Amino acid sequence: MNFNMTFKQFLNMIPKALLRLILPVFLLLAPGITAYAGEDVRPLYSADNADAVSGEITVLPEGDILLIYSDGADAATLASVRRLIESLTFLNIGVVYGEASDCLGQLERFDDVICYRVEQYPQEILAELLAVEQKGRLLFIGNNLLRDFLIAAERSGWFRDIGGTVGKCIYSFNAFIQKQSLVEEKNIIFLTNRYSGFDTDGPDLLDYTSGSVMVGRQEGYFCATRSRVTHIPVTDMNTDLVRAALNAELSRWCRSSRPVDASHQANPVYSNETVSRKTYSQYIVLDEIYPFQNPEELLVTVEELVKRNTPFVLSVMPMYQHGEYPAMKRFCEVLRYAQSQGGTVVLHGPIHQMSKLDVELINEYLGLAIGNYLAEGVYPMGILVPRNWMFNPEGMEILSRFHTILVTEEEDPYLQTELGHSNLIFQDGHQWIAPVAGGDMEEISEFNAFESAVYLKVTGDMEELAQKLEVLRTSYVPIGSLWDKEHSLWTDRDTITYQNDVLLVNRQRTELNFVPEDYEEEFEYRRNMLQRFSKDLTEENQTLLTVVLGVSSLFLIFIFLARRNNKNRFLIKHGETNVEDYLDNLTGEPDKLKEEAGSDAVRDSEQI
Amino acid sequence: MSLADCLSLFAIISIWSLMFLNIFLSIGGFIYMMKVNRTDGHIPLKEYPMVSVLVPAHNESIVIRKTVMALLNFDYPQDKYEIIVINDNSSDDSAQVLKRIQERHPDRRLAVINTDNILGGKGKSNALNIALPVATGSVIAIYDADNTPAPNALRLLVENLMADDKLGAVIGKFRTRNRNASILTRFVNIETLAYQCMNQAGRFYYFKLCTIPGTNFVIRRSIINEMGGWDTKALSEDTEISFRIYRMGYYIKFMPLAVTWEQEPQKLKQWFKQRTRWAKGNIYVLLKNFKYVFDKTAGPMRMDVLYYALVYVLMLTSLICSDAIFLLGVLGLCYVTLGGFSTTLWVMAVILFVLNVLITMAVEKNEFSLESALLIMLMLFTYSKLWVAVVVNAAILSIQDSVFHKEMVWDKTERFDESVGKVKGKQKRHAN
Repeated sequence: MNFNMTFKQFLNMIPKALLRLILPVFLLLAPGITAYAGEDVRPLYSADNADAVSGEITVLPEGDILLIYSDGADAATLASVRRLIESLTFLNIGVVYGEASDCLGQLERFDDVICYRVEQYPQEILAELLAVEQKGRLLFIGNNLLRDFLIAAERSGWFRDIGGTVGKCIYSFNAFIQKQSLVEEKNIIFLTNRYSGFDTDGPDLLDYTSGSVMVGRQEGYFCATRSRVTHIPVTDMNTDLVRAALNAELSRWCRSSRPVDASHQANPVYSNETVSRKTYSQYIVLDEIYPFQNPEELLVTVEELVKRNTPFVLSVMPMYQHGEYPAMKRFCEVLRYAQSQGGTVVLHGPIHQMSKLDVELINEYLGLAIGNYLAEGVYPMGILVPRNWMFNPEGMEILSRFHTILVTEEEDPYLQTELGHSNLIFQDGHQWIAPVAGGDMEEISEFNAFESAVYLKVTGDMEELAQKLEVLRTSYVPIGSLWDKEHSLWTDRDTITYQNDVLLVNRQRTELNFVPEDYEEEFEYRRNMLQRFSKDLTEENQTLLTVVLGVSSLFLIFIFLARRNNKNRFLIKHGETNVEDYLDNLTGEPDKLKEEAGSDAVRDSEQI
Repeated sequence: MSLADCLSLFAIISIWSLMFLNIFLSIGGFIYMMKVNRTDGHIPLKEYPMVSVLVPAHNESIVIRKTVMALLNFDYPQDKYEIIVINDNSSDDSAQVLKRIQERHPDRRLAVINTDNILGGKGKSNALNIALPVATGSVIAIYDADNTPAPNALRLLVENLMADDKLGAVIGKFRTRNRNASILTRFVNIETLAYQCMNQAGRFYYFKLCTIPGTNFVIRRSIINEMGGWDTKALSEDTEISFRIYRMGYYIKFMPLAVTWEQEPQKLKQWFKQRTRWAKGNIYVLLKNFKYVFDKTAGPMRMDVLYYALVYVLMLTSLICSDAIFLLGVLGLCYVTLGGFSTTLWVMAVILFVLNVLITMAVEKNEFSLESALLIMLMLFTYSKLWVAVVVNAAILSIQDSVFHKEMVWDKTERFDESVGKVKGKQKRHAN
């Protein structure tokens, strides 16, 4: 435990749930505490209770990589940590994470350790990091811990202090596209590339560098590796470029092999050429397609994509009832056509308002939705959910039925998430498709970190769609088809598996041929009275709006007429009395006010 | 479809139905008001009938002087009307105030009946029944003790009554005398104009139906005799008597040019008490007369009973449902998944409500302004919601009264001395 931490940091260490419990009690007792303070004030945090806290040891679970973050990390840091965990999950890596104090004494279990913006930590961790370095690799994202680590390892010559807080980050995702962005980082350091600043001809000490960060006139790298230590000096995950570049470097670092010897000499394993190249695809996803929206509009979009030989994914909203309605049949006909032309269908996650997901209920509803689509020959291959479902226990349980999961950049506002200590969902072996990073990068995947999805809306604007498709097609990241991957999912009633181009629905081989359907001319909706009223309400809203506009106009005319009519009627004629004066005079008492005001008393009430 | 959906659907249909009913009445009311406003309302008679003006009063010394002075100021032939004030078991100095007025106007027909707690003190209906044998007029006019009618009010009412034999009663318009006293009286003023005046006008225009407002009306003596006087069990003797007039085959006319100004409760507590009494009375009358909805011989009264039932049952339940669903929705405890259930519906309802009330404001002088529009908006979310509380309270009290067989007593509305505030206001106005 680091005793130099601030009170705020200490509070951040306390689990939020515990705070919620403690705070109301504290507020209730606050007057008593204040009264008591005059006699004997004891600090909330003391060495005694620090010992008690440090006595609780967190045993970290098993995993491929350990991610360490700062003790008492603030909410922004925790949000960035969660981003990193998401990225590692998308890379199918089991990651274990915790505050520096929680990880103390357990680093030896891991060969690969990532330290993200560690500013508060117990000093003992430096020795443990040195031990990890002897057998594995260290990735420092941020500067403080790396500086302290190198000083502790008596390798002060390995880095140079830049200081500064604002710099420019430049990164190339490929040979032709270079992007740059402003970044903010405190106390930046860079690993040195020469034995001395004057020795410009000497051999490079850095085994790998990429990108650059400029602080004032000083230029350094975005990412560099020297021996077993890799360093990324910027940590701001809220900057799109940094997040994208960081994901790219993280992906590369995870894919690269571990060193075979323990020397600190340049190791070819880390050179740019030796990292195995892997190509990930990006998927064009037409998102939030509602069953009862205009099927013609969807068909036009699908045909445009088919015409351009572009594989695509349709994320359809779940439909729990009325699968037999003509509108649903027409909608599914377009989906079947899309499936036969290379489009893949995935189910959009349910829209709900539950703070705690009812797993049984949602599974039941998802079963209904999938059953409705299967009945119409539409075969969902996966599910699409907001990113925070990955950290919610109930969300994870629901997702366990789906092999292919597409993640959106949105967060489910109703779900509460717990960070925990490992990406438990990794154990379910999902096939992840991440949201493409960066709004200012025109939502175009420019890097090969992991499989990613570009989400587009069906707006009917073909010109806009064509422009986006053109940009996507010129990207270095290939556009993938979900039909090239394997999928499986199950509900309480149905199973769907797709492997080696064979689609099995409930163990029956199924073809994706498109056959147009004949529709019933006169469909019997079998609505009960309430449903009829409800339907009428929906349909009559437009009529109601027209009626209200009509009535409002009529009322405005009435108001105008009344005002015009009253203009002359209410003018007080000579000799007439004002009603207030009349009412005052009724008492029979002399009207002093009238005398004071004279004959020109203000007449502002209704005449009588 | 969940329970919340069903209740929402019920609330939407009910509220919009009542909204359109109200719009329908407002359109009729507007046309009628404009038509009447083009005339002076007078239908001169060859001979004016004898009129007895009855004023039931219970501890009304603060306002009774003004009321009696206004009644004495009628432009109706002085020898053709008498004023009978029933000073009903008052514990204040009403008797002395009235005596002084009598002494100052010895030439006028002003009678005062002072009752004790044995004969009187049993409510307005009982007080009117006490005065009835004393009254000599063939036409009875009723004014509440806090009223200051315009000088031409009685003549207008009587002339219109005598012009048509089928008319059982003619009612006038009442306005809020102390509308600027508080935000509450401003709301009451708007409510009075929009819902008691415009709706009455609309109902009369379409169906020749009106409900006697309890004050500022004239009625044929023969009808009162035939009815056997006022129902002493009815707190809303006005509504009750209206229904009885319909059943006798007469109709009631609304004459908006006959204006009386009355004092409305300035404080919420008094307002709540008064409105609860009204609502209790209306519930009593509704329950007593609901059987006539199914009686084909009841004539136009069926429609009026149905109208009251709609207002009290349908509006109350639908408002409770919609407010409960809204509150539970805000708390995250209830969700409506109904198709077409949207904010648009809600916004449209608010717009219509505001415009509907603004029409009434536009017809009156010095009522139509931006301030009025804002007040109407505010009224919708505050004052209107209190109506639900009033009716629920009245229903509970009605059940209690029925179970414990409580006797009817004066549930008097507290009066305020307006002169203090008015003098200050006038001084300020003149200083400017």
